[in-house]
Amino acid sequence: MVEIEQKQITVETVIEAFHARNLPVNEGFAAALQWLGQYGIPEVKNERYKYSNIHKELNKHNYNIEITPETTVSDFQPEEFLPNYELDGVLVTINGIFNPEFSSLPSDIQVAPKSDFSTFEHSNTAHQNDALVAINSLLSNRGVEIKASKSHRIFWIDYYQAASETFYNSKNSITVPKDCQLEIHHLLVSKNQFPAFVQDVTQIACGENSHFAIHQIHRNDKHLSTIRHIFVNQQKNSKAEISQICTGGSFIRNNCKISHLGVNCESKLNGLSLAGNGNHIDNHTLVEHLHPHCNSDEMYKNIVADGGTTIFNGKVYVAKDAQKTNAYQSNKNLLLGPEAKSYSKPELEIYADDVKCSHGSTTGHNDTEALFYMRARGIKESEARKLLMLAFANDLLERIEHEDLLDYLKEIVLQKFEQLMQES
Amino acid sequence: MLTITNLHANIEGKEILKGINLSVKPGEVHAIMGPNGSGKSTLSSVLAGREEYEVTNGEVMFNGKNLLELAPEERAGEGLFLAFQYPVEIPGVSMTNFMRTAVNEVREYRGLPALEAKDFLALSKEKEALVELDKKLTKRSVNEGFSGGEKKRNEIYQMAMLQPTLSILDETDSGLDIDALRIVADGVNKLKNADNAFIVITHYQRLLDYIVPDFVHVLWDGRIVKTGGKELALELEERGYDHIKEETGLLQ
Repeated sequence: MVEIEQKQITVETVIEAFHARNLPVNEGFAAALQWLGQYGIPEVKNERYKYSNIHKELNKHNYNIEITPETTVSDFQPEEFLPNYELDGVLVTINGIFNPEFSSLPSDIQVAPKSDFSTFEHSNTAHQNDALVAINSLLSNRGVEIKASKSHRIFWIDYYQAASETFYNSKNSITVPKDCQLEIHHLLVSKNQFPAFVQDVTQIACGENSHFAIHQIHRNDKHLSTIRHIFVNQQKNSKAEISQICTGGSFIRNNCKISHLGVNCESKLNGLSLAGNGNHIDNHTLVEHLHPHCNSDEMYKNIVADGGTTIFNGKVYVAKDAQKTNAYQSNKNLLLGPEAKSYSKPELEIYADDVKCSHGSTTGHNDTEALFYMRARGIKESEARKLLMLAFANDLLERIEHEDLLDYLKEIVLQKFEQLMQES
Repeated sequence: MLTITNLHANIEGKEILKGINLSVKPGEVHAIMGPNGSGKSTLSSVLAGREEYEVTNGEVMFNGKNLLELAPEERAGEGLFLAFQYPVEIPGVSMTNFMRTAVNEVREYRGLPALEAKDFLALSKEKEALVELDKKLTKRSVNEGFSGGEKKRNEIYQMAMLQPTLSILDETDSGLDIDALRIVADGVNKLKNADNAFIVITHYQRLLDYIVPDFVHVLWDGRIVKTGGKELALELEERGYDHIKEETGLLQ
């Protein structure tokens, strides 16, 4: 087991850790090294990280840059996390590594440990001049490759339990070939005694006429911080849906980028973040409309208690040739107390002239009139607040069409409400 | 049932109620009339427990309890109901969910078990019929997209569901056409019995043709300046409030 002890995660220590892996510096790694040197680890002076100081977060604890993957964890039981509705299969990854023992997958889904880590696509980091993805390329040593065929719905338990203070980097790829359908219910969950930091990059390729959905449920414990990058490339006539339901974890940064590489693509993004005291939840999205006749529909909602922070920055980019684009984006924030913080920046960048695009952002408190009305009908204040929060969350949740998943999510959301109520 | 003694209340430091005295017994209907700004809505707000109002003096006893010490939801549990002048829209909360929560919370307060889903539906159906509330409305969000008349009928439906002992109708007649007014009044009359009581707050005599009061009180500048029988309402309609002001010597 080779571990490199260090007090700081800096450009230098990342490069040092990369060289310790003794990998040949191919084109991908060379590009990543160059990118890292050019942009460095983002700090607050970078507009996209104004409210999320990655450099500071990465050095909050003495994280080791984890080199040799450890695979054993003490008390993992998949049953603890599985929903009771019907699924075609279960995928389990532990500390980012595919676990065939606990997984049970249909024969026509191929899942394998990630083998090639050297790919670093410049195009994926256009519009976002930071070196996080480059760091991931240089350091990642784990992950899964999923390739679907036909039509499937699987549950993915993405479990972390660190044996020491660790900075994990993993890289996943998901391929949905032409005419195939894949729906993943992705539970991100952890049990840590030590602080740990996970950065993963998931590249998703949606083939022609394919349907893909990933519903991510962030339920990590308070010791885990995460940066998750999702890159979706959609071929013509494809549909993709990404949900990010965030209820746990100490620091969450999600970068989600969707690119339309052909005509008639549809994309749907759903975000619900419930930030309690000590939760920092930052969602950045970019939807690139590069071809005509594509639609995107994005809604992010945040509920924030005292001591919690949410950030939403969503950009819709419409290229000159992407005529007849329909793009909708909405961000709404509900603040539960005077010490709740929410930052919102919706952006449109449009170069085509025949498009329908809208964006909007609102931030407010619970409606005191509605609260009084309910109390006057005998409903306890706490119950009335809960009803109002659920009402706020509902129009986001109801975008998720799978009813069993919706019930499963509502339970998680209601549990989190109890915590938020105590904090406001 | 309800005894108000020397009630004084402020909002933002301005005194609105300046010594209200009122006693309501089971089986009675009281009408409170008065011009704009006389304190009618303040009185109903204070009784229901709106926090913006500060009670500076006086006492309100309701079925042996000090009403002013109770939270709004406890007052509802004790059997007080306020039909709002402006019912509140609550987007995202369905009428059914709202009503079921309210009914069961009030039942819990009164030491009764929660209603089974089918019993709740049966009760709801019966009460919807009472005020001719369209069944479709119960599937919508609370008051969202309801017409003025539907909102007021919805208030009476909620009253019927919660079975209060004292109901305060705060200008329930405002914004109602004559048919809606009749439906609302019929609903109230059907709910009226020897054990409950109503306080009807209104500008106009019109509603009192349908809900016949035992007592009519005239509120003026934060005090009840005159009390009479139902004929007082007719007199007010005919001669206006100025006549009362002169009579009670308030116009000097």
